[in-house]
Amino acid sequence: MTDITADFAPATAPAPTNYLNDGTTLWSWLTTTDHKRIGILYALSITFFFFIGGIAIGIVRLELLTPQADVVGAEAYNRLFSLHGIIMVWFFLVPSIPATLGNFLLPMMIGAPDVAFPRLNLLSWYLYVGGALFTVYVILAGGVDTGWTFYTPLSTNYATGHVAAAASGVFVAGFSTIATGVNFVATTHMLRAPGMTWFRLPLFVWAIYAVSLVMLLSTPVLAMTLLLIIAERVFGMPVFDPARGGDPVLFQHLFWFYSHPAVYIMILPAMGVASELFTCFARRRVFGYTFMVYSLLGIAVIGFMVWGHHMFVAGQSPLASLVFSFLSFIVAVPSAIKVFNWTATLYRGQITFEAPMLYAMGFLALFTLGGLTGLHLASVPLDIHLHDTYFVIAHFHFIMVGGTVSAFLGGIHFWWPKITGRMYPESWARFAAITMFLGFLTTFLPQYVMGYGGMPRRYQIYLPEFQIYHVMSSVGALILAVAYILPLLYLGWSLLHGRRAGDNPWGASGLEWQTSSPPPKENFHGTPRVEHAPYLYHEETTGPDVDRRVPSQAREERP
Amino acid sequence: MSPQARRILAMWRGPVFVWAILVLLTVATFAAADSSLGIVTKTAIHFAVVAMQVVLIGVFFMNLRTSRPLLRLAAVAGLYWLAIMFVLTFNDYASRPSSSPCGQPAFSDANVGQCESPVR
Amino acid sequence: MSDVALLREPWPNLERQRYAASFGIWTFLATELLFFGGLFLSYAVYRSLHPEAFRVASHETAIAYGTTNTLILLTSSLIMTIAERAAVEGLRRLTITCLLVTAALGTAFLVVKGFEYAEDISKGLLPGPDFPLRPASTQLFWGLYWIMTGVHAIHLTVGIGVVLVLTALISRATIPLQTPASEVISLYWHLVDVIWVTLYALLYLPGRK
Repeated sequence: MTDITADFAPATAPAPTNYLNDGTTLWSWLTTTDHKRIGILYALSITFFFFIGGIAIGIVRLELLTPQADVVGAEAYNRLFSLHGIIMVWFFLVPSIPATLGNFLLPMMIGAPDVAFPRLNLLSWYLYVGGALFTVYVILAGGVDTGWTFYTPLSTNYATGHVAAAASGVFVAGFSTIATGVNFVATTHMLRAPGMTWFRLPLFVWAIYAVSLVMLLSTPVLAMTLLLIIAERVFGMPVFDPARGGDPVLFQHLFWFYSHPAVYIMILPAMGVASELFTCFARRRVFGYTFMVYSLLGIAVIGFMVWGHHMFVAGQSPLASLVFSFLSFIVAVPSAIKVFNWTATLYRGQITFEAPMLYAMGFLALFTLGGLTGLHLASVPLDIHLHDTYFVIAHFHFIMVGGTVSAFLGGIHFWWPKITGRMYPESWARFAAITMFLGFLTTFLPQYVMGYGGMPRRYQIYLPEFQIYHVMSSVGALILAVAYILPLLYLGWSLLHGRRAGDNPWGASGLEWQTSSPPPKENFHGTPRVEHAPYLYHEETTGPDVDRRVPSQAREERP
Repeated sequence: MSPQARRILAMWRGPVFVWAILVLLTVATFAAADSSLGIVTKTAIHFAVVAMQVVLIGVFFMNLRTSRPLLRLAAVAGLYWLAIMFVLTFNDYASRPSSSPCGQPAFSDANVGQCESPVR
Repeated sequence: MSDVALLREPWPNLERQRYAASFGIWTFLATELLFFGGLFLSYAVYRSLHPEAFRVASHETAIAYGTTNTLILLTSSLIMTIAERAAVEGLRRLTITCLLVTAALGTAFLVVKGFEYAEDISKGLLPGPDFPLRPASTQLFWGLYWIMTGVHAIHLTVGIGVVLVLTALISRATIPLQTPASEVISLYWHLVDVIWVTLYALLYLPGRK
């Protein structure tokens, strides 16, 4: 394959039948088994919830402009941050990249016509919607105040909000995740096109596969934990009640056994997207493909063994804290390998700065910063001071928002022409990406400082010395809001007026770019055959600096 | 006997044999429970019987004997992850210090109700 | 019926589709194991913390009902295995009969369980202020008893429903006899049996003497 310059293909009308106009009634969308349409259904749903969760925290940040309680009452404050956490974790982040981009792209990237179990795929969306409806009910009925973590005995004995309904909503949505996980794992094992061996898979596919394994093995434990809360709160079964011999720390073990792998559910797909973006916009194959694959799997596996680092001050034994701390340091290693390899991918690349690349670079910087502060928190002595402060909040927002949301937006922009057949307006997109980056830093960097200074999380009333940081943070949140609304506007605009995109406007590698934009319903005209490794942006014997390459890097001559 | 009947008999033979062993194991574990062996011995017997029954059902009824490696891997994966959950959780419980703020050994039944929160 | 009727999108051939169906259900069974695993872990932790209370509490379980149910479910696993093999062999009547017997045995389990629950309730063994046993942590055992057997019973009920639906679809020839669904449902049924066998050892056998 010769170098392909990143020109847009000539503007032509889309193919007469593609997956978008193959049936245009609402019913055809609601009963579709086409993975591409299901991906879009998910995208619309999670966007709706993203803005609900955003509004909740917007009110919180408004409240936190002053050290006193002046905007909302105490009960309402607790319910607002709880809803923010529950919605953002389970109804936005967990499904975000896997259920939208993963659903759309996984079969295409492996050369398959659909996922392994298309009807199960549709069911998974309906399960998500079912869980979401519970949550809408909870919001309308006044909310829940336990925090997204549902700790006992608050959630089982004392909370006055709608705990059982909230737990039920998450329970149902959890089965959506499990269904998606089963589907993706089976798809990757069973439906790869001829020639698509495991080590020719794009890293996005590996990331989706790894995340599906994590989803499968962790979510059932969450489901049981929520069931136990409901059993105790609604049916009076003493599961975590200390007065009858129960242990609230057992709840935390069960909860975090899921919820720590959950954060890896949130970051692994983002890492997959980043690998696709860096390779395309540096026009280089990824550095250290094999290490990247094993790092993904390593994060997925070791991520199951570190959950106790959320419980250093909960009453866990010192030995357990030590073991979990050690394992938490270990789990940072594969992530670090990935960061080094992305950087090395950029080295000597032909880098261009389209919006997806800006998002990817933002991802790299913010994920690295967030990850490093994870090491602070993995250290038991430091965590004793930093636990339940804004330091923790800043840490996980750097990774989940600075990392995952950046990568998600980067991916949406990158694959937008493929999904819709239209290009988005590049200048607006770049502006939004930069605004997001700056707004993010304004919001969350001060939170590290005040957390380190002792500002506790989930507090409505605070000491006046922290006000300056809260004001900075709230201003940043306003900038972030603008940066998130902008894509909604210009991407929506582009659906009607955007320039039509050709099959491969970025000149990217990958099977999904070898078919039309938007793709036909069956993805490809004929089964694709794969004959080489991914990210083949330059022939082994062509490309810049070919004469300065170390000979061992060149593969054998192909006939 | 017709070939059809012979085929059907062959189809039944293996599973009935396995079923008979499963029933015998159930009787044995029930008898052990009712016997006057020590508590540790009894618990060991119970768990050993469960393990054997699970393996028999898995291998013979759930076709693991004739399955492809990937399916066996899926069967084992769940067990492995369950093991992680058990080992690391008991890492905490088995190493808890033995005293509690109320002056009684932590979690002893004498302690329950001493430092209590209101019961529902 | 021909193989063509069985093949569905996106599968290139039937063999791959069967393989994927088996893989899919085994993956799902692994998730079920972790689902019950949370309960098993809670049981194990609390039994290690309150061994005496657990002995006292498990003495009160109705072992006669429990053992009967174990034998019923083991037999149903046998019949389900035959049903699956008969389907593969193309023995239509045997398959349908065995599926119906499996569902009947499952229902018998639920009936016996119903009687057992009634007896437990009549002995006041619902955790709460009037709980008859001491010390207080015997309520932990009984809380877990109701949750574990309840969740198991729900799984069994779903299994019975699915078996009956499969029987109806096969007997009306809506789906072919060789459908991959028989193996899928058979595997799920056996898991329900495996879970019960474990529950039997955890809930009924300790504390007998």
